[in-house]
Amino acid sequence: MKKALIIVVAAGLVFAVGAYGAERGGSGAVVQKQAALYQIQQIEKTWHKAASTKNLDLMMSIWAQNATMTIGGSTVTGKDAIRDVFAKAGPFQPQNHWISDTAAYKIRATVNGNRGTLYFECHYIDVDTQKVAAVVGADQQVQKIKGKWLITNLAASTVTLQP
Amino acid sequence: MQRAENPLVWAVARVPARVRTKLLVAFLAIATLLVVIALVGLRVLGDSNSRAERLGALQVRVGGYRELEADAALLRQVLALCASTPDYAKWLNGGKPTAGAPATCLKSMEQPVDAVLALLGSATRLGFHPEPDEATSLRRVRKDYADVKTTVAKITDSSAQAFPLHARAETLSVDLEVAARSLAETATGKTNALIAENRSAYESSRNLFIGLAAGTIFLALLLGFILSRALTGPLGRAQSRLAEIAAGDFSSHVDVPNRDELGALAADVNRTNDELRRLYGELETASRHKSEFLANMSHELRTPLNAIIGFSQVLRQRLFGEVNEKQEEYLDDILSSGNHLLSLINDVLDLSKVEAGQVELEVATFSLREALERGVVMVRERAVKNGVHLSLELSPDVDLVDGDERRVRQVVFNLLSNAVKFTPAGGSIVVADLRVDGEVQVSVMDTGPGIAPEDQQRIFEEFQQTDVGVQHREGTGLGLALSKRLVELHGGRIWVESQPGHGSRFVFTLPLEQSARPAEEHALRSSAGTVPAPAPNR
Repeated sequence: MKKALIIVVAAGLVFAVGAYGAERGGSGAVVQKQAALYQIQQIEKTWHKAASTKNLDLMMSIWAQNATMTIGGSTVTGKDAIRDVFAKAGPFQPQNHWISDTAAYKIRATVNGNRGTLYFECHYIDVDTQKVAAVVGADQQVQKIKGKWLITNLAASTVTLQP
Repeated sequence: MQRAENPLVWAVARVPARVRTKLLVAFLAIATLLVVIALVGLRVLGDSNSRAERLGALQVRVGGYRELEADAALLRQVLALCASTPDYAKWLNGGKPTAGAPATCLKSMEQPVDAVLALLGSATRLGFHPEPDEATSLRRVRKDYADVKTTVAKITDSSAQAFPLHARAETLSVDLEVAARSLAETATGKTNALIAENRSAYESSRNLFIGLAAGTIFLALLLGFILSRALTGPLGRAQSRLAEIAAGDFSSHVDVPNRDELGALAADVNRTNDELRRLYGELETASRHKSEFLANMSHELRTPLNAIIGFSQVLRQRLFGEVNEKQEEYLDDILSSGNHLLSLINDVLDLSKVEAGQVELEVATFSLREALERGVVMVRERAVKNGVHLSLELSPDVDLVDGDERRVRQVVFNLLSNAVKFTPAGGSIVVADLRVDGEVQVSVMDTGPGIAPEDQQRIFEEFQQTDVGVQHREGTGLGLALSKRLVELHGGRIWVESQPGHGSRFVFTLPLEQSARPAEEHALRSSAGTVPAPAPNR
């Protein structure tokens, strides 16, 4: 009887340890995915910080070296060309006092391994006039390169998301 | 075989089966392992081939899905080219209000959009069968593709409808690209998993084969060791025991635990040993009785014979008065026959004493040279009478030897008597000595009729003579047998080298332990006057 009890307890322990391991294994993947999504969404935060503070270097820090950008009827390739676009863009002009922001419901991100998508719409508020200066949207392909999530492709998008 | 030596060897030896069966079982075991290795190898090859086929199919699927993804991305890019409201123009133009792309932009790009949609349409018609878990994503891709196509087709020149439809098309294109990528990533993940599985399977197979090969080699070596010990061990012990038996040692048995032919062989060896021991004992007893009988009888016969010879000589010398011619002739016959009979009895007596172990050599240092010279002197008269030339060829480095001088002279005299007896007139006899390999060789060579090869061993046995010897009607057939015994008592050997018609050469050896001392010592002894007495004429 005592022997049988020991066997049952041992079997229970083995089962519990196995189940715990399986649980840990499953939850580990979920946590990893959530962490990746968080890091992808940080791209959007950096974008708005760079645009609001006219920090062009900070803006370029979220782009991959050979990234492409399709906006305004044309496509540019490479960080230098993209930097030129941003240098001429409204938020980075000294005379403009635009603050950039994205409503919480206007952002959407997905992740699959070390690649993902990021869509968000930007609301640029002119501080001087207290009005919305521009509302634009962008579909972006992102990729984890050397441990950092970067934009590899941006395609301008018609703003669509509604609360 | 000691059981403690090796339990496995002992166990195999104790298996009650034939040697052939044991060998067959061992070979069968090894062959079975080889068959197992072959089957495992076929199974591994089959699995590997299956994985290769699956990998090929996966790579085809990955290629198809990547093409789908690329076409979807291209569609999104094309749609993005027209995603330009006035806000985009203002954003790009430094914040200055500017006219954006017209709502009819997409309509104007009808041709490239159609081309991309055609590409996408062909990509959705996959040339393979997707797996069930991929089917859901593929259905979504196809639905998005159809919706995009429908939405783009609905776009009109009216900006009021164009913008919402444009936005709808963009959203669908993003969704389409995500779905296509998901398919590609899933298939890529499966490919990587399969590659990892393949690598793991290779390592497992490699380890399995190494283990099986090592196990087979170990088993083969173990079986070889056990069988060789179980089979050759008893054979070696039986062979050793037979060698001991051949050397006359019947005191022990061979111990073999085998229950096979080797066990039976060992039992037969033991039975042979016992039977030979019994027969040898009986033979020894019979031989001893014979020798004792002959020795006693010879002694009893010689005593009256001496009287016959003695009184015949007295009568022949006319010590008791004259005898007539006829009486003298009969006395000569009595004397001659008596001497012959005495010689025969003396030889029988000597031989019997040797066989009975009653002869003890009186070993002393003596001059072999003088012994040979005296032997020659003793037969010279008869040799001259027969017209035979007799000579001595003595080696200067051989002289003093240790032995019983009287017995050695007896051997020399026997050999010389035979040589003189069988060498025809005009022939020659040479007596020589020689020092060879630590022993002294004495040879008596004659130009007699020679001895046939089949007789060369037989003549050293008792009462054995060649045909020529029988025809001479002389001798008893005991001289060479007695010489052989006497030489062997000295630790030497005797043999004959002969060819019929080309004479004979009888050789005997004496061990050179303290013999063959320098000739100077002989000279000193000779000058001291040490001369042995001549041997009796036999």
